[in-house]
Amino acid sequence: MIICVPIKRVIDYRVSAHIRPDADAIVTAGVKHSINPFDEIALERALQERDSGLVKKVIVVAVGDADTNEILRSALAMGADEAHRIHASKTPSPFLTAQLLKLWLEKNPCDCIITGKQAIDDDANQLGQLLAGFLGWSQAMFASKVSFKKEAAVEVTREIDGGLETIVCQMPAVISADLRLAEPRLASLPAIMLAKGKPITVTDASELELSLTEKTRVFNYRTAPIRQGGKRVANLNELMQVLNEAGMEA
Amino acid sequence: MTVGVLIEHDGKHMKTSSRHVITAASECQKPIIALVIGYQLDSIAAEVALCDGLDAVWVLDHPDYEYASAERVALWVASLALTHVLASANAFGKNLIPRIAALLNVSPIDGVLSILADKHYVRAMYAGHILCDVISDDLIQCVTITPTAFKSCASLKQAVSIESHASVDLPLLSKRVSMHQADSESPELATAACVMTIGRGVPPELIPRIKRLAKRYKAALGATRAVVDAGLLPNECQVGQTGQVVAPDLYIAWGVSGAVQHLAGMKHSKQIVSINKNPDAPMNAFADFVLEADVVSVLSAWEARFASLEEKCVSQELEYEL
Ligand SMILES: Cc1cc2nc3c(=O)[nH]c(=O)nc-3n(C[C@H](O)[C@H](O)[C@H](O)COP(=O)(O)OP(=O)(O)OC[C@H]3O[C@@H](n4cnc5c(N)ncnc54)[C@H](O)[C@@H]3O)c2cc1C
Repeated sequence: MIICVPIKRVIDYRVSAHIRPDADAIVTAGVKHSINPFDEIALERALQERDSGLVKKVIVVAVGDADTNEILRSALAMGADEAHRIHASKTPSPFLTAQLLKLWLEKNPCDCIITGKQAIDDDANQLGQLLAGFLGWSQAMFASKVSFKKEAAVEVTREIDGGLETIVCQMPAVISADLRLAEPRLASLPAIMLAKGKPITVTDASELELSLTEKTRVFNYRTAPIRQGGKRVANLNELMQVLNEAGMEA
Repeated sequence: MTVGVLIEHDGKHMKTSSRHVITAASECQKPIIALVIGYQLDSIAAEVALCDGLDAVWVLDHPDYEYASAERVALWVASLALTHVLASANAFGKNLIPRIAALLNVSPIDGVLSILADKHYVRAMYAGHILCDVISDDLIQCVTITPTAFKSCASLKQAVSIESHASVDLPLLSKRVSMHQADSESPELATAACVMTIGRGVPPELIPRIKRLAKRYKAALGATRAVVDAGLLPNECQVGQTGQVVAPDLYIAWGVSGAVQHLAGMKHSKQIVSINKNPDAPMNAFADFVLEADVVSVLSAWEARFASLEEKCVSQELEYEL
């Protein structure tokens, strides 16, 4: 069995994003980037399965420009067997990314896809579902537990609004990782050094014969209004008082 | 031009969040159809049919849909002649809308906060830190709506018509084997009027006591990721960028530092109270009212207040009896 893990390069979660003066994009040049944390969790879960012997190979794939190689190398350092990049000069929307991946997977088949449930830049939470829809595969989103069964099926516990739900999906399946699916390993220094020399296969988006025209236009980026708070109250009685004044029954 | 709203329910009642999506749908100013999917839906469909703003309810009621898998639901919804498909931006809607969009070959839009014009939306990104406009060129709009950004629709006396639909044929790709539901006694976290959230600053042995306090206020219980990861509260309590988004009238944060990922899930609350002993905690700069104190002492004082109130009630009752 082969697991494919699509990963995305995003601004690191410890860095706050800034808007370009023309309000048409986010500043990315010179900003620390890393693997989207949810994709890192997905990769860790796939690697665990390979390490336990059920899975033959874990391949990672990312869409983007040459800077994207950096996260592919991090993935190789964690232990991914192969790294692939679909070249696009700008990071496309989840919709275009899913279309590109679908076409790419026709030439690079796999049995299961595990990816992060959302990217922490656009917060869209769409890629896995889109890909499952395009491929006509079963889907198990927001997974906190995954166990592969012998009979071409996978059992997945999903984090849903009211609690947890466990489903069994026919393979091939698309799974998206929630926070508690796995704890990503740290790559060792030798593994990081070794990953520098490993090959990354590059496919140009044009080879996939897909026009890279977006169907949505995103603009007028602005900082969300910041709340002005911080009023100190001395004790619980005073808190009760101000809450009552604000019309709260406390 | 018809708007379809996917209705979320628990097998007994429709979820409040779907009422907020119906309000958002009415801003599209087109006929609105509520889509209800599952098994043995008579009472739910009757409840939905009273929602203000609807033109009809379409029901897919079939034993195969008791577990309404994304694969089957998407296939049915994509087969309907709709121009807009809306659902709530929570685990329910996020699971379905992008798959429906893929079948219709349109680019979905997630977490809409306001609708400025037809096909023109505002949404948030980067943990709610940045807002942006999105304009879609697609003929069909597939959208998830942030429920807290729209009001809940009212119930009317007059019901709209309920129409049955036949199920679609698709081999079984996934099935449910078990389900763990949160206790249905406490209010729905996403739409509760009051939320009490437990952070890492709350010693674990205090959690049952805060739960009791929350119950008295009919408040829903929230948690930070750190608390859920530690296994102290279940996942459905997590508030934040990657958990639930809430906007109650009153949000009380017990020992919560206020990381951006947490603020993303509660920043639109009407009044925020932070109980945190660290003067530099980001939550203490963010909250409307800050009690810079140890959660242990505040909780004890709060309980004592209740105890004395109750004593008063009891003694009054006694006087009355005498
Ligand atoms: C990709 C990603 C997604 C994430 N998604 C979410 C999310 O959806 N929701 C979320 O909540 N987090 C999320 N996080 C985690 C987030 O960054 C923080 O780590 C987390 O919110 C911190 O939780 P906390 O406030 O409970 O704990 P801490 O940060 O440890 O804060 C504890 C606070 O309690 C105070 N305190 C300690 N003892 C006491 C006492 N006795 N009395 C009073 N105060 C006390 C301390 O001063 C401190 O401010 C995410 C992180 C990442 C990287």
